[in-house]
Amino acid sequence: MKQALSMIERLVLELLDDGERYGLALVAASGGRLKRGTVYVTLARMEAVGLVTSRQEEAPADRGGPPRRLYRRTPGAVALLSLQASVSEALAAAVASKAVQAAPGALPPAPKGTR
Amino acid sequence: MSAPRATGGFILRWGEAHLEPETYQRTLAAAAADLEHEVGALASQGTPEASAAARRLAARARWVYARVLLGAVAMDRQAAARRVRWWVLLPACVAVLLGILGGQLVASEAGVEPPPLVGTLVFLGVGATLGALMASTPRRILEGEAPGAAWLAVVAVAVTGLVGVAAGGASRWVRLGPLQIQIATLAMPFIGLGLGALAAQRRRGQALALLGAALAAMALTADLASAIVVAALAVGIASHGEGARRAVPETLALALVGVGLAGLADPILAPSLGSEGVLGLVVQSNFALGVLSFVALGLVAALPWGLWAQARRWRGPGSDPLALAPVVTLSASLLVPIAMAPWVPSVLPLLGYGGSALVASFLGLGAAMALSPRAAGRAPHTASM
Repeated sequence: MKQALSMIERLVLELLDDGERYGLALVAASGGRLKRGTVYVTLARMEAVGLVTSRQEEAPADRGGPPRRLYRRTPGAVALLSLQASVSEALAAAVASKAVQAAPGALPPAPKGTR
Repeated sequence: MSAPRATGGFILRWGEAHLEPETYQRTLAAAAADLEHEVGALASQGTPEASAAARRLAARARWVYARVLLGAVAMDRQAAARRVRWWVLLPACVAVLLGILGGQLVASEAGVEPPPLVGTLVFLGVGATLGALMASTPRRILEGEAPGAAWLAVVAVAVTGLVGVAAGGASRWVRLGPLQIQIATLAMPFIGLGLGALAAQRRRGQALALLGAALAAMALTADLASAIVVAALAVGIASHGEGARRAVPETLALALVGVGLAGLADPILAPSLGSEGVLGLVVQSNFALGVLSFVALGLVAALPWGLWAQARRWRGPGSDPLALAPVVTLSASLLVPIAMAPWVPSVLPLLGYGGSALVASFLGLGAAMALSPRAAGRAPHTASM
């Protein structure tokens, strides 16, 4: 299992929060942030490290074409996502509190040679 | 009017043939299924706008497949790189680098012009890269693509014979900027692998046609030594079938004796045969360096023995004819220059007579690694795939 998620992996996991989806559905839901040409390799890599699982859909009799592959996030990925979210929130809170403490005029002078 | 279909069947077929099956299913096949459904869903809406969108999406499918294929190939290559035995390849690179630097030293001691250092280093870089690629190629791909690659190699040799750089009555080289490449030497591992693959697939007629074409093309370049190694390989494969364990020493002996005899008639080597080799000159001028050179040659000569020992463990129907080629070509490219070092004024005794032999040696080493049972036992993907 990975220790940290990339932006794209995080996006994919967030889009998979309501159950199973296939690749193009993720692209459509991402608002242009995922691309058709790269989403499948991203999903395959995520599956290789245990972030998602996949299965082939059972093709309905009334529809032709090959069965699509449906993806679902794993419990480990959910835990990693929530951990990363809580760390991000803590970091954001810490940065915000520091920003409040630092008055605009109290910023340290720039080191020599930087101007 | 029939519903539009997502185009790009060639890319899908290529991917199915060349990607690992798991990778293909999880990337290209998944993309194809999604796009087919998307196009079908748009077309079934029946409105002119939806039909136009379906046609646009169908026409764009090949670009989507091409991008998916690029990513999938990269994914496979990364997985395959884990199969390369770097502990073999990297010391080989270091040994060759030392050989190159030693060659410069030997040349200066002997008072002869050293080989161009930058050009030889370029050959080392190219050889190591191609060797790593070869070592990371799955056996299935190697066996499937070897006949096609062998035919391409034969064509390249024939073209070289017709339009290559002529020297000493032979036309064996192609000039690429400052580099001069001996195409037949580079072609030898591919032709050997092609013959082995055809023998493994029991396509004897095609193997004979390939052998005939290879020998004819090498005759065009007046490269008798390469032709003899290829012929010895063919004899070894034909006479032993799937018993490469027995075939390796006999084929190698046949190749070495043949190459030695060919040297007598070779338009490039024959004039210098019998003259004192560079190592002989070094022994006279710097005894310690000369002895060190011969000890180094003896150590390198042990590598073919190790390869043979490895080949004796190769088993399995269809595997041995393919494995014969890298072992014999690599051993020949190491042993021939070593045997001739005292008699031929070559300053790169460990590297054949130039960079092309160096690249061919790395190709042979890579192929030997790719075909070894250890490589076959390692799955390219993790269990979670």
